[in-house]
Amino acid sequence: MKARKLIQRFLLPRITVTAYYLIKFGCQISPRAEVEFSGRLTIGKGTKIGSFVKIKATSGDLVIGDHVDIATGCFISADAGGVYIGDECLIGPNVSIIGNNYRYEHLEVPIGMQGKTSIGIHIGRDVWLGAGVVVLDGVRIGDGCIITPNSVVSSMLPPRVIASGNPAKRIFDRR
Amino acid sequence: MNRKLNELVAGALGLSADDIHPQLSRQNCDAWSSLKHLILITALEETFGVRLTMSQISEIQSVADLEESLRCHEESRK
Repeated sequence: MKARKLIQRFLLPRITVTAYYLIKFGCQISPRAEVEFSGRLTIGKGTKIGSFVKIKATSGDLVIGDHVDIATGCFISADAGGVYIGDECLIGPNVSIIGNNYRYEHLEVPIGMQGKTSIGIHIGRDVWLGAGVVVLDGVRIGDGCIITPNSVVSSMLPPRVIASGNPAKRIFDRR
Repeated sequence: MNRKLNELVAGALGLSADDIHPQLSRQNCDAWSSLKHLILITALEETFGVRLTMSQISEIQSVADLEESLRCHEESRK
């Protein structure tokens, strides 16, 4: 582990991170959350990040809009393709947003050694992700969507739909 | 229409078509959750070519209400 990463992860008091992002972006991050120090991370004004949330943004751009609410236990990881979360989104507890995939073309090479791909994730504004939702790399979720708890979003969803299941499918058009 | 509607409700709620009757409602049917309600409305709209408003959707509480909504829609078409 690089010295810089080691210091950031283990020696930097969490309250320092909270204070830094409060001053820089005007957002509220729980001192119990683990948000990486990164120039590639942008958090909007009025956004709230709950306890035990882990946010990784060292290898890709991560943009979180204004007034986004990220509940406890979420995991958000941005890689080369980036992750964008629009304004006013509600992200329920234990949601995972994973902006990369492992390569697996070669059977004789361990998957972990084949490298990663990253297309990126785009979540529109005013989207509500229920508890336990998983959003996979390459997904675009339109504005105003609602995803029911424990759904797995693996493909594009148009604006203003309610989607459910694994893989998440449209079950209703909001009106 | 009633048979078609009963089959549609049965399919959406995961019940047998024989279990569907006009008095079956969100109050007396455990399978009729808020999520299943939306699935049922979407199936209804696609099958019968209707489009309900949010207030109509929330007012529907039973199979009889579904029949009434379809009847109103048929009459408005004439």
